[in-house]
Amino acid sequence: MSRTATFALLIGLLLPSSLPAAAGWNYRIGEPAPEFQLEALDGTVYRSADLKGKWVVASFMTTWCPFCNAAAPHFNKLSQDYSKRGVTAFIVDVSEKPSIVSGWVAKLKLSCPILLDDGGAVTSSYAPPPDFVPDLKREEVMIASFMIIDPEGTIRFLALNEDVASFDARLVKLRETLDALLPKQ
Amino acid sequence: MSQRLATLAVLAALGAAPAQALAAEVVTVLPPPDVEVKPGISTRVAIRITVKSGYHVQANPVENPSLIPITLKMDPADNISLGDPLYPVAKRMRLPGDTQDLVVYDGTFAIGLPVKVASSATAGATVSLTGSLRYQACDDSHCLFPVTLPVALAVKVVQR
Repeated sequence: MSRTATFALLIGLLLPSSLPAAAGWNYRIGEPAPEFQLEALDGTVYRSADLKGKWVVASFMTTWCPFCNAAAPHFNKLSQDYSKRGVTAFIVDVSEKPSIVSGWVAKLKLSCPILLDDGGAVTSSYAPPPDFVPDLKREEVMIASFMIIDPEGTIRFLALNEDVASFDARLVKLRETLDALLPKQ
Repeated sequence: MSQRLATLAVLAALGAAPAQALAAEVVTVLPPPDVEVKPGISTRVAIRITVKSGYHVQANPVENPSLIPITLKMDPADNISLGDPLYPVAKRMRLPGDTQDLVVYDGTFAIGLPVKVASSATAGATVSLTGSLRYQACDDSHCLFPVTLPVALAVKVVQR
């Protein structure tokens, strides 16, 4: 057995399956954003092709997720603040009935677009591969995540929860990254 | 060993396995094995719940009505009246940046189920109760889809 192969095997046996989360992973960053077509709560149809040429910020949420409930008002504020700079920001609701989502939107007074991913297929298509938290469904991995897509349709930022202590309800990192990426005003 | 084999070993250890429905495995329901109830007398049955280490479930009641509280629902049965389930006191936690506490359960806890057998019930009979437990679990970094588990409980009627 070569020295390299022995080392690779040793590392492979020692690494826990959740290590990518702790090791500064950068899943999906630099990849083309998957194509999608989703209807929003207000009936508007959003197509990824129509968003080319714009900066896009997306968050994948559910009404019952505590992380989402904590972050949604801050995401809505971000949507308002950055729309002036040409950013399209929306929430993708994962596999819930529109009536439930409507109640949640009214309660939190959300004004950003809410896209309905019935069945979660679009959400799954944006998820990291199965080696990231393999026990979870891919939609579950993406719940309470935040993503920036550039005008060319390339994923430039993906924030997944690493642990409760680093949870960023106020979306400080997302705002900082957007500020760094967007053209200077 | 070839480099390819070594790479495969690394991938295997990284857990490149198909996704499992973990949510249904996070909670274990443990009804008591021998429940004995005297006719006409109310008894509180403790349904033990164990939450997998590292996870918590939303308590009942929740403080944020958007969240899904753990809920025990038992089906009606002949000769038995069931009271509203009694949920334990919750633990409080707060996500960084949030303005509202979460109320949760973790570890092992019990939900009390008031059970009363009709005075006319025959001693020696066993009544099978069925129902469900709905919950939504999270760990420190991810939340799992809500799940409903079946619950079964056998109650033996004994003499007063």
